[in-house]
Amino acid sequence: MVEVIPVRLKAPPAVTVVVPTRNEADNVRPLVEQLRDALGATPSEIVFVDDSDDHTPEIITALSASDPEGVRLLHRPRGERTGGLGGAVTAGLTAALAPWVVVMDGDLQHPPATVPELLAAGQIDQADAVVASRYRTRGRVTGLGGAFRRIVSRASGTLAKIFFPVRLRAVTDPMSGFFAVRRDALDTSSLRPNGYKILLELVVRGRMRQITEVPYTFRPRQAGESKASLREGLRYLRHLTLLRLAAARHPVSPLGRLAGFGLAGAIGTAVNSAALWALGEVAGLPYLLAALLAVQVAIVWNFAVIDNLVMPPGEHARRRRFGRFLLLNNTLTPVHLGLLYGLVQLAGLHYLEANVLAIVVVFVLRYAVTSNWVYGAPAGAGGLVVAVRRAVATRLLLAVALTAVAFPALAADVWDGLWSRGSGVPLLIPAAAAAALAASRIRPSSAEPDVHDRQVDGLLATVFLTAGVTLLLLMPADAWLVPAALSFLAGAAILLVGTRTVARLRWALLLPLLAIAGVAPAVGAPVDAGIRAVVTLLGRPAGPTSSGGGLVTEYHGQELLLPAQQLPGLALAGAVVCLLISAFVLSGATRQALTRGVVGSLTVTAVTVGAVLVVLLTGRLFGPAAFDVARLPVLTDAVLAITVAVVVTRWSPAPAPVTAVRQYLPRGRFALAALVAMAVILLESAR
Amino acid sequence: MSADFSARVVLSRMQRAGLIAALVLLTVWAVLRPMTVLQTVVAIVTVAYGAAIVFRVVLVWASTRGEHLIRVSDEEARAVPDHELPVYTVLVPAYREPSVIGLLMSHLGALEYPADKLEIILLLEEDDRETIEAAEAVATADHVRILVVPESQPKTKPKACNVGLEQATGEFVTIYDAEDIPDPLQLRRAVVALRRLGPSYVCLQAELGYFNVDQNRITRWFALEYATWFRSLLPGLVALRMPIPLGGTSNHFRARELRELGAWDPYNVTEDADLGIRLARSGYRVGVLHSVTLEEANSDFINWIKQRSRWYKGYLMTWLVHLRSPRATARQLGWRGILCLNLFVGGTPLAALLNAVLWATTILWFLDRPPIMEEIFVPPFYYLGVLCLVFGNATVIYLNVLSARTMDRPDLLGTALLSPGYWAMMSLAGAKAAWQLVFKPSYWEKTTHGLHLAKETADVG
Repeated sequence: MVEVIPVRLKAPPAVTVVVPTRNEADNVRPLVEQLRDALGATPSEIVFVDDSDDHTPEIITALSASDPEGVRLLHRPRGERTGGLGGAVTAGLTAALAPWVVVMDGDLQHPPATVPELLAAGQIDQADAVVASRYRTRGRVTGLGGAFRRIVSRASGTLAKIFFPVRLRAVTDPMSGFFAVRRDALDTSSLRPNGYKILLELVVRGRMRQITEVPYTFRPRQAGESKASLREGLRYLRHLTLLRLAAARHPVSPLGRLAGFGLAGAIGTAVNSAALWALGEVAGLPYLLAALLAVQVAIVWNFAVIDNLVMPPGEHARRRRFGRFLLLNNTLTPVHLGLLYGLVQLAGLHYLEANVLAIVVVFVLRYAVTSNWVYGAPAGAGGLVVAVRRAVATRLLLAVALTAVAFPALAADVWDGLWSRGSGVPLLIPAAAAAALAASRIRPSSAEPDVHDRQVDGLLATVFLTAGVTLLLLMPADAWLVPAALSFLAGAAILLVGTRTVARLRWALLLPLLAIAGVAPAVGAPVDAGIRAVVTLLGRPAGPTSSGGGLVTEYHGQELLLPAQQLPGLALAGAVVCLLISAFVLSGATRQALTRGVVGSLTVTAVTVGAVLVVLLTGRLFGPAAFDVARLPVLTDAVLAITVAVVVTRWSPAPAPVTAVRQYLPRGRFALAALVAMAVILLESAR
Repeated sequence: MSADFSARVVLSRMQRAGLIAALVLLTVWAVLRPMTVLQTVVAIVTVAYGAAIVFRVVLVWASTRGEHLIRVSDEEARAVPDHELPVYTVLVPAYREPSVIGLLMSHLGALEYPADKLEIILLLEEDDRETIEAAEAVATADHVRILVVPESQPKTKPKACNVGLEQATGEFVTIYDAEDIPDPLQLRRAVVALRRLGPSYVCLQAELGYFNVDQNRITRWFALEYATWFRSLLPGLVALRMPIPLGGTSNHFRARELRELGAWDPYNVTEDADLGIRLARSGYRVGVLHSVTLEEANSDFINWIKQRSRWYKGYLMTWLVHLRSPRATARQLGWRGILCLNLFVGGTPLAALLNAVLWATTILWFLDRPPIMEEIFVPPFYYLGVLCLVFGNATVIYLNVLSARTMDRPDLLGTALLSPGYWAMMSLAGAKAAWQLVFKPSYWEKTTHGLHLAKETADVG
């Protein structure tokens, strides 16, 4: 196929000069000539936006006929001149083709010789806009007739700077009608020009970041009549006020957003309190119900304020935004009500005061949730903190921590058991195995399909969390604590890292279930007997003797007893099962898994026997004090746990080069907030 | 096609008003008499659930009495001389499947049909450059056309098929998915069957099966389910002269009647099931052809949930669309059709969804025996519920075992007995479908194909 390449006679323009004109018939031709002289070889185009009623357009058309690409005319006949001068400039900016656009008046008061200076300054300073200023040192105001006009001009500039102290920081002449802007820094659709101060409009609404200035001397008028008048001045004042109001809405910076949100929240607090007072005191509802309803009122109010004034519209339609806002803010309502309840019942505050306090505390969560999920976070987040926060391991750790918070009884049980080989200890070894397994298994394999689904994550997590809560609430017996905690852990893990990752971890998650089976004495007793036999056999001739289910050694004639319940038979059995499961998970149902299982079991048995021997030897050599420390079950168990973890880690495949970490559930923070709330509620209800 | 039959709007204005009124009434009632409402809901659910199970059993029973698959032998199919064959159009909609296009060409190349009577139209989407390029590289034969569907909403398979149907020149039209492996004689069998059956039959549904049955547990369950569907349930529907929800591919149509009917509903995410009901409403009949097209069974859990939830959502949509004017539907479909529409089209996804709730209540009951449940389940419905639990579950497992037998795959027995695991997946998909029906009705959840390819290369490499 033949590619048709359009024939280009000239290079594309590097600069567009936009000249709004009105009855400037005598000035147009000299302006064009001077501009050509000033720009020299720089490819350029001049766009006249003409609002004239005289014969200016005919002159421009004639100029355009001799140079159709260099001179263009946008004539706006009477009745289509929206926005006056500002509208004319906007039309010119929209029509401009070059990357840089210079705006100047057509009355020759703006010297065309300054145009190259503007462009050079823009390129050197990497600026979004360059303003030609009358008030910089070199520039002089000679063109404004009379002292009064000069004062008016200066005063209006100062006024603008008072209105926008930050944005006009670097601008001495915000009234200038002579400036250059980078076209891609400009969003012409956001401009709503009214009057003649288009530069203000560009800087404020266009949110220009980098502005520099170039001095110039305002020249006397060549011909035609000046358009500045008192009426224009009044219009200007109104425009400035409106612009200020508009600019205060929808702040861009995170700090501005936070401040706006805070301000809206402060008013919302008043509304919430008023509603609570009306419902609680006047209508006489119970205070928790009244608070619930008052929160709804405040949420609707806050949405109206925040959506209209603070947050940028974002990607969703207003109806959907409201839906999300309501839903998300209501997920925090339990936290709010819980806090309120605690403050009233425990701290003894009046509920109106407590409500204000609760609002303030929940505020930060509300801000994070609303800002990120309803409106989308402002750009610029990143770095190490984010990388750590997004790491799957961090999320799993969070899930475990939350489970511990939600099931304090289980955590306490495990902690107590560490010192006396109680029911919690068997958890230690499976947990180590699970951690080692998890560390290797959370990496996706290369053959794994790239299919992920947030809805499935949400649904499954809901099922698991509900199951955990139901078990905890309906089955007060301790035996159900571990399944309930596991179910909760699974739900939290799914919510935080996604179904697919958890599916890889399902065996690891099941390992702690061993703790339940491990409690049975039938498993521990025979293993204990075996350990006793081996230890006495190896300790001969002067070694320990078996007595009453325990092991006895001597220290200077004194008998030291390692009692039966402190023998690590149960722990050994658990460790062997953990290793067998891990071998199966890592190698599948293969011969390799069998070999690994056997070798691992032998290793861990040897380590156990060695540990018991070391304990007894410690007693024999260093006396009863050292023996009491050494025989603590937690030490033996820790050694076993480390052994299991090391063996499992050695079996794990070498880490593949890390590709981009996939965001399973991008709303991690929201999920976390919900989970924390749930854990806190469970903690309360379990007491 | 008219807006009345389109799922563009899921609920018509009347339906919406009715639903809201019913919800308000229910809420008020629930506030006044919570226990009565719970008891009533439980009673209705139990009865409906029982009815759905009975209906399935009746379908299987009906399918075993007599021959309801249309069989055309190889000899009969080959006996038609080439010049007597009509022009046949094969539509193949594909989106983002560059990897399977090459295989597709070889599978379609195996069709025993004269090339000058065959028209293959590949329907590709404008923004899918990869697949278009892959197709241009392999689709060299004269009778294969690539039709790029212009970008417009809704971007769905039925929309693409409608565009293809407009351009189709064949007297008969069929659809295959890009990963399908059709029986080479299927087109000839369809021609013979449709000519034999006469003009009241405008559509034949060929059987679907899977080529990757043994990939993992999910594909085995899936294969058993398809076998039940195509060997027992659909023939049962034919035997009872009920409408048949078509399957997504390998349906063979008379092109003229299909056009008159308004073809597919581009807004329905199971346009095929909807078309089946519309055919029945227009008085046409659909047969099930004994000729297997092999598809790729979804082997990945999340992918399976996506596909299944789309089907369920589509079934619910179809159900709602055809309940818009219940009297007209009842007149056109007759009581058998209404039964099928409610118990089969609406009932399948609802049963999947309710299964989870019912299992949860059952487990809760056996674990804790909360006294409130004794109050909710009033005696007659309690016993009906127990009956459903014991016999219903046993029946469905038995049907799966039966399918393992009809497939002649005794090794699938274990899989059949493990089907409660599959039901859990179905419940999950049902929940997702219900969620999506409310929040994103027309969203087409794309199923990723070619997962069996990744597996194979991984095994080799």
